[in-house]
Amino acid sequence: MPLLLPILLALACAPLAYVAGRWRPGAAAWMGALGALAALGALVYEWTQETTRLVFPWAPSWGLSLEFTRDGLSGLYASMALTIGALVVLYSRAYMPHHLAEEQRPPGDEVRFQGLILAFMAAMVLLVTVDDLLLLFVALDLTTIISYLLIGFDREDPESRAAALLSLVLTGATSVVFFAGAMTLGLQYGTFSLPLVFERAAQSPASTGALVCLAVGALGKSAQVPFHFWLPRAMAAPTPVSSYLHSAAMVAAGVFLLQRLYPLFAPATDVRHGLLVIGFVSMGMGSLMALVADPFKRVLAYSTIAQYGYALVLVALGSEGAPLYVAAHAPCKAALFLTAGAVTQVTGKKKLSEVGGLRHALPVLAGASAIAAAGLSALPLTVGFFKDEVFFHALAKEGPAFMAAGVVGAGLTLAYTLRLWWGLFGGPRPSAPAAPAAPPLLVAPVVVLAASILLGGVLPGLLVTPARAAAETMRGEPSTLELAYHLDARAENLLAVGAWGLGALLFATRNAWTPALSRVLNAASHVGAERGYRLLLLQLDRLSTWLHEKEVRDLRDRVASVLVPTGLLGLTVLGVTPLRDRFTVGTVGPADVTLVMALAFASAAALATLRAKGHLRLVLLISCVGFSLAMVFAFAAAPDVALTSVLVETIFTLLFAGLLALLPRERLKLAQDEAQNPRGRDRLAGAVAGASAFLLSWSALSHLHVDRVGAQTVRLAKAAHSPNVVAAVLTDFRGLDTVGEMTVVVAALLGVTSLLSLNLSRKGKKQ
Amino acid sequence: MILIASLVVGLLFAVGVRMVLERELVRVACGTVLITNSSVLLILAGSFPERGEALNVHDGGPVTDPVLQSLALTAIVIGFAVSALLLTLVHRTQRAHGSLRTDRLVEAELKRVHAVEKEEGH
Amino acid sequence: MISFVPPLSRLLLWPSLIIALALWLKGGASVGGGFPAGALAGLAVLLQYVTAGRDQTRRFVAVRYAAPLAGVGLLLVVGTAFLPVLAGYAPMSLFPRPDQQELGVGGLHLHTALIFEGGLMLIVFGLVVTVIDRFALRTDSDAEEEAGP
Repeated sequence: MPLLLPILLALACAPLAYVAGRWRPGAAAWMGALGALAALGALVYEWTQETTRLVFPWAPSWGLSLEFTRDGLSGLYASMALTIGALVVLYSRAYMPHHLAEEQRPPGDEVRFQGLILAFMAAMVLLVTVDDLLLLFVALDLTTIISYLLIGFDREDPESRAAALLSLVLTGATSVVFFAGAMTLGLQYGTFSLPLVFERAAQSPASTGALVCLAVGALGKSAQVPFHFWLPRAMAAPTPVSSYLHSAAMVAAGVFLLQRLYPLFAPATDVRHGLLVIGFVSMGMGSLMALVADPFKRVLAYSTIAQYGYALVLVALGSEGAPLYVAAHAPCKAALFLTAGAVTQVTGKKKLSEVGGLRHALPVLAGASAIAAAGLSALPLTVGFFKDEVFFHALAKEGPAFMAAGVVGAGLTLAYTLRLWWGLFGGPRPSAPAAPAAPPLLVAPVVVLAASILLGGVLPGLLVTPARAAAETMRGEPSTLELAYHLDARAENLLAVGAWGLGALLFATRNAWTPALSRVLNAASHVGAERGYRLLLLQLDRLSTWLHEKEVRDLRDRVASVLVPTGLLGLTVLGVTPLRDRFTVGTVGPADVTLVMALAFASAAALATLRAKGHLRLVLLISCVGFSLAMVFAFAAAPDVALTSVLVETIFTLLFAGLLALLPRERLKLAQDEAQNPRGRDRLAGAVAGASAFLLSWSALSHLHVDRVGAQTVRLAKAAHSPNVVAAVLTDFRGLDTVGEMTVVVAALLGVTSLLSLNLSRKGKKQ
Repeated sequence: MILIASLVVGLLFAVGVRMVLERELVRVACGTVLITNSSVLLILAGSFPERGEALNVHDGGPVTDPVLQSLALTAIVIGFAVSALLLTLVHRTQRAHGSLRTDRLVEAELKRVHAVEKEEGH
Repeated sequence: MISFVPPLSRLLLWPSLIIALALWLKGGASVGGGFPAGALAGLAVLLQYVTAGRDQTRRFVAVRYAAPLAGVGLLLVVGTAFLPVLAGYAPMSLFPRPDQQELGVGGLHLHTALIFEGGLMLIVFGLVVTVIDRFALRTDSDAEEEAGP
């Protein structure tokens, strides 16, 4: 049970925060952060326990169970999600009131926002802790849905609504692809439990199609090319969202999936080569876009794409540093996002070209974010240094071309990070009146993150154990990962120095190449994946409109288009099923004469309804059919059915007559006059459906099993203390069915009540 | 007997479908009632070959399959509830759109959709 | 011609309700049960609506609160089905159990199936009466509306 404690605590955060928010809006964030820290404590406690797996059987006959694990990956990612979640929630306490005031929304909405952030945190913890493919998909979709609500939090703003929808469609669609892959694997190996899947995959490798599906799901989540474009758009969200979802949580989920499922990918070199290419492309494209983007949140978004490209490259190479890379990147990126939000709140500006020289007004923030920026660009004494060290270490094994690409990528990272920090804080002191100081709560999370970045950089030994544990989980073999500073001329150090040099050079000469680069990228954006996506959506929209108009033009076609194919299908099934003695005619004895007569009466009444002109006559004929059937039931020795049928039929006839009294007379007459022109295809549809029903029921009635359940019920009725066997079946043997049926009746009752009272209230308004 | 019962089931179903495909809502409702009737008949027809004595139940004699009877009973009650809902729907539709004909309803709906789209466009 | 119908139908109300009750109580032993009982009771009320009108019929408490009665019925049904779960039985366990002696006087036997059937009866009754009541309400107000503008 201790295994579930962090999840349960994380799940409890959002409701607790909500309750606290009802008491006092400001308390929600503190409550939530407290809950997150408690969950973190439970996570640490859980590591001192013995159990590492927990399995709840769910549907054992289908091999379905709910499985949770405690391993290196889950520990690393869960603590990352919880720590940054707590900081972001506290930050939002300072950020949201201002934001809501700008959006002209009630301050109480802050609680809703924090609740959503905490719910997202819980979904993330769930995602990293589960250990079977189905739950993985469920948790993945949970994050997608909550992120939709978070990105679209400014619901009055069409831009943010569109961004939320875009991210929902893209990450939702790709996660459906992931589901397809998971199902394929589940069918291939007969289980969804990950350890079992891995075990069986060791004998027979997973199919390439399934792996590609899984990878697509992960790429969509991690905003890699060609699904990258939702991420910059999602920057329309409030900054805490960007900072959390797009650094530590949602985007990390994709790479996490690949790491969790790495044992499946390990033997599939083709798929891994594809991932490698995608990683390098995302890296290059994201870095270049980050070099020219002007809104500073967009710079960070493109940088995220690029950084997760690095992580993807590491996974594709099977490097043991992949989990460490994500973990080291998260605090740096989160801190920079929080900085961007603080700058926007203090100055009201969102673009690099509009701000500058803020180091005088915001010295603490400038210092803390400088550390974060150094971490992002992998300077020594920060934890970021080690993310590039493992990166270069992995590339150095692959050859010079890889090393060159790595140096360029890292150089670009340094260049855009410098550009960002210098654009915000560097430059001459602005001539405008000094910006007001930022609230302490807005700066404190950045400082905490910066402190942790420095701590990790100075004492890398702290990181070795979790990084090794995660790498072991990922690769399934003991890890020899080492983190230390080496002052010698090994390849990693040379590559790092090369990257710094390149970055500094690029930054120094930025005025020379920025305009040209931005022109080229502008031109390139016209042929990108985003345009393809737009075109696809447009065409789909058109198709759906066309279909809708076509379908809705005549409701009868809609009905016929369901009934006729179903009828044809039934006939086909009968045609192809090889059943010996498919149809038996049956015998008609003297005892059956009354039954046949009643049936004939029902048929005659039914046929007569087709010719009935007046509505009243129609209704009477329908009730005639019903009463003759009641007669049939009576002759068939089913007195309960016959009794109920007579009563219900009486009520129904009276109700129908009542309805006719309710409808305006002239309209009824009009409808009557116009109705009498049946189309030929309606007759055809009726004939096909009827023939199919006839043949199917004939076939069914010809194959009644000799040994009936009914005989059993007759025997058991005594034990059920009910001489009336029908009553015993209804109340006892099939009692649960009756309960379900009664809920249907009550639902119909509610429908009737609401439909008619709705009518009343509308009329009341008119008067 | 089997043939006759299934013929009647098929006939009721065919007439029901034919009426559901009418333009006018009252007839559509009648059609669904007929379809319900045909399914109840089908359920109970399973017991026709070895049914009990009508109106004369005594111990040890042949019994009509009680499971089928209770299924038919259930079907009747649910059919009634759904038909009642349908009748109120017919009434409500007529109040809302002022017509009993499905093609008119579609026209009205399309008109409203277009109006909403126009509004959103502006 | 008209004159003897309303008194006669008023006379019919109580006998039909009693027959409905009998159908319910005897359902376990012979023809009857919750469905026909509810339908018959509904029919009795429907007759009152037709002859006496809505206002006269709504004097009866059971008619005014027909929809809540159906809710009570659903509670009874669900309660009979799932309360045994709390005591560790399978859902839909009825009492007395098959191996237990049942208590009873004459044709009437005490059995939780009776409660279940009573729930069914209330639900069907509630549905019938509510639909009738709504239709009757609409008829009245429509008549007013057509007379009004």
